[in-house]
Amino acid sequence: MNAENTKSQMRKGMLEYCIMLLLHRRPSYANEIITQLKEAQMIVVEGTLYPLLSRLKNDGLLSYEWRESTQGPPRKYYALTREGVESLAQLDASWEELSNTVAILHGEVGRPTV
Amino acid sequence: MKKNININLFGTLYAIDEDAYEMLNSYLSSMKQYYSRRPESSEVPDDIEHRVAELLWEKREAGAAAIDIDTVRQIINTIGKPDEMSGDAGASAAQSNTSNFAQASSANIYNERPRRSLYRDTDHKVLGGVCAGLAQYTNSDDPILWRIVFLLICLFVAPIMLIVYVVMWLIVPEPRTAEDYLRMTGRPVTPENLREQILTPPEYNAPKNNGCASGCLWTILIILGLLALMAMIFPFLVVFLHII
Repeated sequence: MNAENTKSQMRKGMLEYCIMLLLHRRPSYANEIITQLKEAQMIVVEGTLYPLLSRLKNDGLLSYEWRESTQGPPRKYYALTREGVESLAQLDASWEELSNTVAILHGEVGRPTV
Repeated sequence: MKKNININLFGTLYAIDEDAYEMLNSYLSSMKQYYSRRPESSEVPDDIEHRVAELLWEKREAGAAAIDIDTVRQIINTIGKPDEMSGDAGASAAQSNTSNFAQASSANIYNERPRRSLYRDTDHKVLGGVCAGLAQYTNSDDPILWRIVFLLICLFVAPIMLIVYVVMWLIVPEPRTAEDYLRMTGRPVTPENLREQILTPPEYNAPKNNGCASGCLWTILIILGLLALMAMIFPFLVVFLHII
């Protein structure tokens, strides 16, 4: 049993959800997303983010617009589309379930009565 | 002291050392190459280039006058190599167990293995480096086999091979960039290999001047070859003169 491996699989599974949560708060460009994900130790290499954003965009969950920047090149600002918000609600529900299950297994919440 | 060049990234100029530029350029082209086969992520290389520009900008704001190779290496490590990136991105494709992951990544490596390209290996040349290039292309250690076979064919089978040689000399390119050298020797074009290629002068430069022994041997072989060729052409020459 390799704990590191399991941890990294968990992070990978959560990555998409976390990005959508971040973008739900406010539209952001890649650098902001990267900074926050790094703080949370969700990604190891920055590049991971780009194919993921590209795929979410292709699935119609995200859209982006170019904005000029005062510092450096123009930036792509990503935001959730309506479809993305709906999809996020589903993910929220499933996260709720997961965390409930884990909480139960930890014995933090009373066992369901039989 | 290093030669320094200017690059233009999205309208901003950056001064960058030549070796650093080579490394960065090949990193970005390997990214393009990788994603050219994945049309669904066609925007990724451009995004990466933007990210590179952003990081370079930050470096410059922090007071770096010129971008050196260490900075580029640092940037490449931060952003990651194409297979590292897609390995993570594939996570959502229900690749939950590790063996799947290992298989996927080894498949990637397999797909990414570049073919050898034919160049004239001018570091090992006797004449034009064609035989040395063929030896590199076929991954044989020593071009001597190719040379002897070539010479024997020229002498006893088809003298037209001599013309073939000259044509190949003219057509087959000699390696100019570090990338060319990697392709010639069949090593994958990755930032690490490029760096190695750029920073360490090719170790196989050495045999170029390995004393008189082989030099003399080649001179003798070439003279022998020319003599034999003359001997072969001579009868035709006699017949030709006779007709005139």
